[in-house]
Amino acid sequence: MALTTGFPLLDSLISEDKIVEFYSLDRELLTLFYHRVIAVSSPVQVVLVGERGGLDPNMVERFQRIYGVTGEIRVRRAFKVEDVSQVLKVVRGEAVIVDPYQHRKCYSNIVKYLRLDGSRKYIFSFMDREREGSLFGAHSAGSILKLSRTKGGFKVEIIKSVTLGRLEIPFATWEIFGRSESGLIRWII
Amino acid sequence: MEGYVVDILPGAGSATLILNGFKTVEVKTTFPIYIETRDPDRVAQHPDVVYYEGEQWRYLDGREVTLHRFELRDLRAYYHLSKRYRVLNELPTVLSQTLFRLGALPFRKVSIRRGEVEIVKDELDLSELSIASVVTEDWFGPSPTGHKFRANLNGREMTGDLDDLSLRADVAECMGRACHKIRASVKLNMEEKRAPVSVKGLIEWSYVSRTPVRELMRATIGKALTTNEAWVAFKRRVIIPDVVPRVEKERNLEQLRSVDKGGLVLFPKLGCFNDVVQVDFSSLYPSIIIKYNISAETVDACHDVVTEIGHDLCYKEKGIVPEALEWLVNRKEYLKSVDPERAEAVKWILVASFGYLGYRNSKFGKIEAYELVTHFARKTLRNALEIASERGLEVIHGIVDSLMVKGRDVDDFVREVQERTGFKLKAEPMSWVVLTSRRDGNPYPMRYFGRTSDGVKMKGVIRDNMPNLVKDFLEDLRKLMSSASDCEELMTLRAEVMRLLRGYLERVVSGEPRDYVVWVKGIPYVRGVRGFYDARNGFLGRDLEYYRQYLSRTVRVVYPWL
Amino acid sequence: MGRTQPSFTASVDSEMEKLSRIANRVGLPCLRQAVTEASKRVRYFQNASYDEMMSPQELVMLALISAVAEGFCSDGGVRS
Repeated sequence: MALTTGFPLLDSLISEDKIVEFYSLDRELLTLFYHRVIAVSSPVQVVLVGERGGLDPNMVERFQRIYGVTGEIRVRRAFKVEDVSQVLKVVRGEAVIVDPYQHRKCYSNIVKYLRLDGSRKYIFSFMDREREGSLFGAHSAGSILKLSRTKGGFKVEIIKSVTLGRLEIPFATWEIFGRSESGLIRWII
Repeated sequence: MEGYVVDILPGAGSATLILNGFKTVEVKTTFPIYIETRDPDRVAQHPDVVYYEGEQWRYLDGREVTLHRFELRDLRAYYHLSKRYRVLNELPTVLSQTLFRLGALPFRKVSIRRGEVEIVKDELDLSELSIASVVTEDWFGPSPTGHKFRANLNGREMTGDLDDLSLRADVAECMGRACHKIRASVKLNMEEKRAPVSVKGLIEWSYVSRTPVRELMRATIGKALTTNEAWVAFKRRVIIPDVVPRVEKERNLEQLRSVDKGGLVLFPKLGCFNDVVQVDFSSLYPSIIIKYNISAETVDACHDVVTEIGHDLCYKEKGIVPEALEWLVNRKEYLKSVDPERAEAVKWILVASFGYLGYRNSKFGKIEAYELVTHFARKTLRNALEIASERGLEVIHGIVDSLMVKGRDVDDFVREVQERTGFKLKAEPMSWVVLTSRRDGNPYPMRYFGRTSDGVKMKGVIRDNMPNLVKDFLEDLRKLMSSASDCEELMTLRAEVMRLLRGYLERVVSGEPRDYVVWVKGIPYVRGVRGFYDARNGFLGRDLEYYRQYLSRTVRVVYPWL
Repeated sequence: MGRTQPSFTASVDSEMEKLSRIANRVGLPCLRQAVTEASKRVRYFQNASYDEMMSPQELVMLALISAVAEGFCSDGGVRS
């Protein structure tokens, strides 16, 4: 199964890009979003960077149930900055990478290994890319997308893209969870 | 000359050994630095390099390598060289390694004749040393700017005005101006101290890790713990690395779910229970590490035992961490009857050693090792719970490495658990135990109090950040409760508890300024009518209502029948 | 307490709170009582499931079912 956001419109806008970076200042929103991405992209590889936290297996499984997906999710963790590039070196193929730049160091090595085998990567960053934009491999990302909350939902802004100018796509909250009726049925059955 | 090695001061081509009783002796020595380099001659061009030698060492994964050991005339060259080259084996510290080579380990008794050092007594006998602890105090408690002092010199307590302070000791921990008023071979400034143990504890750490006590004071427990492990590696010529980048095994969600857990914690039944026995596993985590030979380099090195969680145990070679911990476990047991304070200091290291296995900067640990330990700990406690159930015992509470059970033949239960799990237990009978809830009514696993043969034991009740007044109240409450021999009697104490509370409520109005002090992160505060203020600015009144409510809340938590 | 995944107790509490919120919004008294009772019991279900692989949702549902099964309602609802 290929990397997908599960939103056909978004997927079509970033389909040409090898490295796509999603960032947000809203931790809860981005976390929910990438759990969903992991679920709908499964089977998928995931790299979690950081000392603590990063993945709620229950949340992933709920999304898998809602969308009727059953693929295996394979996880590797990189606890300290020196682990990050070593872990990325052994990850072959498409992968979801959570917060690789959080240590704010060694980024050139990290970026090198992100691009190493030429396969697609979705990166999720908890940082303000517009302020820290020039520093961390922004040049290597094909697209950079910003997620932020709105009243009643959230929006995705395309900050950088090879093919598109700045674009804003709104979503309603329930869209993250899919259509509620079919969700409930999958729970009961 | 003879004496205990208390400190070492590096010089040019020599070191001064500081012995107890203010004796000093200079010995000739150089200082070793290990560098991984293909061009040792280049390194040797530094004017302070006296000579160098190649040595065969190996990495933790078994790879052999030639390391060069450069002998330096001056320790300052160490810092210079470490900026330019890849230095390894930085633990044990260079001063520790120097002392080791000289045959002069910290806190061993040595004899020095014609520049040659020999250990004449390996065991640490504190009676031959003078050890002091001096704290300066202000009205609110310990303070570096206080004008009064409270000192302990070899167990003798002294108090007085700072201007009158004068004492001599081999090792002294001190605070503020007191540090200028005492004479000591080693002065440990408490304001810089990060280690969570007393001066005696630090001396024990120094003894155990063979590191000068000055070098341990500013470090966290990690340094003492890692150095202890590093000595094992050093002996085996295994390189002690600086940073170890790790790639953990890939896991799926199910696997992650089942291993990414801490200890088993049950939610206790609420209320008071008579005739309970608290059964504790002795040093469970270190014992697991030792029994299953768990260390970064042994886990998955071979497949002697395949475990349920996907990591395998290997018994071909004794792991560095198990070997380092085994001697500490034995030492702790031995010290219990000799000096409980030092036994406690060793216990700290043992407790931290498990956490270090999973710490990202750990030199000899890795996450798989950590997961194996928590897995076996949970399994062991589950086994104990099953055996309790088989024997018809009621389990009141269970938390990580300890159980509270009620019923008959608890001794047989303890014996059976020891036999079937292979781990030692201690059983402590309690005439009664009270398990309380949080404010929302939910059971609170970390808080209980019960009566043992030594009086009432309270866990999770007295917190450091409580006002002094409340701490005193809880102390008095504890003494009051120890007069009850069962739950029924405990409940009849209600009237006396209320009397005690009333006394303290009055004290809120007319108490000493010190009563109102609350310590939060090392700073003393008092709650005034306009909120909390820094007590170091002086006593500026108190908010009666706040302290009254605090007392009332506390008594409701501890005495829920009120 | 895990390093990566959230604490099981926190997840259970979060599920329980969600159920409470919805029960309160719906406003059926029996359901509210059953949910309240379930939240008192859920800790003991946690204890009992210590060596099983149960999700927080399963646990909360089980606690709720146990409250309903014992006819936990005093407001004229159906009692078993």
